[in-house]
Parts: sequence; C-alpha cells; structure tokens
Amino acid sequence: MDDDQTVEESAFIVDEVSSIVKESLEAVIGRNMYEHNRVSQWTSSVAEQCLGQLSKLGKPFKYIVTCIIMQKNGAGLQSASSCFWDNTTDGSCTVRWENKHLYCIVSVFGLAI
Amino acid sequence: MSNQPLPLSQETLAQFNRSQSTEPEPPGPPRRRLASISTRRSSKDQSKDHPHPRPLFIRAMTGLSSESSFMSPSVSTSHMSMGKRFSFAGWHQGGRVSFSGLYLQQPIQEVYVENTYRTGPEPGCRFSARRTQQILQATLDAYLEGVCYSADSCSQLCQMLADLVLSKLKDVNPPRYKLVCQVVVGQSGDHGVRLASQSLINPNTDNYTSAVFQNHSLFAVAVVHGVYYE
Repeated sequence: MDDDQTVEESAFIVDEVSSIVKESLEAVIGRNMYEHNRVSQWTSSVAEQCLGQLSKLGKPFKYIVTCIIMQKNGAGLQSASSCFWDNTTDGSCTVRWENKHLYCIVSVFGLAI
Repeated sequence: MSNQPLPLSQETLAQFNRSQSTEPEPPGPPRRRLASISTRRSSKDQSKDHPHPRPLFIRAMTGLSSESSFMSPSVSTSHMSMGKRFSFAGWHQGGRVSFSGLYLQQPIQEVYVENTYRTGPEPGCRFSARRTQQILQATLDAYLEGVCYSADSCSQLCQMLADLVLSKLKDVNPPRYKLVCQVVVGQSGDHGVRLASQSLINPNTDNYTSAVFQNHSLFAVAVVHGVYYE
C-alpha cells in the first residue's frame, strides 16, 4: 500500500500534465488572434506557466517544455520526438490545441532525477 | 541426468548408502574421479577465494548434481576439507533435487552493486552542445537537401529524422545522460510559426542545442536536450 502510494506520487502522470498544459493555454492564448508581435511572448509564457505548475507538483523530475504556435492558414506542420531515457520512470505528454486562428502544440518531457 | 529412469535412481541410492556405510574409503580410482569432478567445477578455487558460504553452497550443489556420478559421495566427505562443509551439505540436497530435474541449470550469479557516491558527471564527460549541434546540422542538411514538403511523406520523414538523430547522438552520448530529441518539419509559406522551449534543469550539468534547416519548400527545426541522470 505504501509502495503504491510512493510510486504514484513520484510518477509522471500524463493526465495531470495535460490538464496543466490545457489550463495554461486557455489562460495565455484563449481566443486571441494570431499576432506576430505577441506570439513570441505567448510561447514563452505558456512554457513558463506550465513549468511553474509542474514544479508545484513537487515531483523529482527535470522538465522540458516546448511550445509551438502556428498561424492557421492551411500550411502543414509535423512534430516528432525520440528519447533516450528510462521508460519506467520518465514520460512525455504532447497536447495539440487550437482556436479559430492558430494551432498550438505543447510537448512536456519529464525526466526523473 | 534428469531424464534417466527411476530404477537407476534407486540403484544409485543403494550404492550411495553402501558407500556411506564404508566411510573411510582407501585412496584409489574413485578419489581420482572425484578430484576430476571437483576441479572441473573449481571447488578448490572456491574454498580458497570465496569467504561467503552461500555462493559456494550453490555452486557446489549444482556442480555435483549435474554430474552423473553418484558413487562417490563418501569419498567426497573424506576428501573434503573443513572449509567445504557447506558444499557437502548442499550436495545432499542438490543431489536429491536433481532427480526431479530441478536445479540443473547454472545458478544466476548475484550482482552486488556498490554505491558510487557520484553526484555529478565526471570531468570531460559532459553533454557537449557544440558537437551535438554539428551532428544535428549535418543530419538535417544531408537528409533535407532538395526535399519538397508533402503532408504524407513529411510525417514519416520527421519521425525518421528524430530516430536517426537520436541514434547518432547515442554513439557519442556521455554516460548517465538522457536525451530528448524533437524534430519539427513544416511547410514554408507566408504564415507565422514560433517555437519556444523552456526547461527546469540543472544548468551546471544539463544543456540543449538546436539546428535549423530551410529550403524553398520546407523548414525543419531540431532541438536536443541532454539531461544528466543524478
């Protein structure tokens, strides 16, 4: 029982992380239009908010957050990742989010210390 | 040995009992045979080198039980020195067990891992951003030169590039470093794209690097993070 709890507490839980990412996307971008001047600020603040929330979880992880924002006008974009790590402890979570004017892809990688 | 019929085992047991009743056996051929058995299993070395009785116990057990000679247990007692008491006790058990076909495989050696007391990477074994960047740029240039964007092929291309970069980096990866490699391939056009990455890492040990490629039809960004496993 105790073991289960400690495993649960120190694991990378994808649902938890993905809800954090979605919350910060809604908070930062919401329904805004694509604006060239503000996009660089949005990407950094989305990543920053995610990191802030993730660090509040207090889990023994190092986190990497990548945020891509792309204007919606029919162009294509692919994102792929490959990792060399310990599958049992580390994890990743990718959220694809969009509003009327832009696409956003946020990837979070958690690497156990 | 395990697939031998039961009558034989009875017979050997009888022999075993007989030979045990005549405990002080004169030196002769049986002793030599045992000696050959024991040296093949290097029981002599074990008695000298292994202070722990447990590995000795296991090895002697399987070593003797895997041999087909059941005629020499008494010789083994007379032959054995004081230090081998454990192996003798183990032999009785192991010999019985081997009739049922168990314990015939080699024992799995236990690996004792000691603490390294290491808290950081050794000097000269850090993640090199410069070398990684060179590898990234070379890979992107080599594979994307003259490639046109198409949604179907580029999704495979993107994953292939990520795997390729990772496998190249694994060859030069310093010990205890985890790698996260991300590749983004997009269509060139008149739309805006912004990619930002932030990480909660230890700047003394961990690092990242990125490479960008662009041609008339597509652009590609590769980001690699090297994170030290503490």
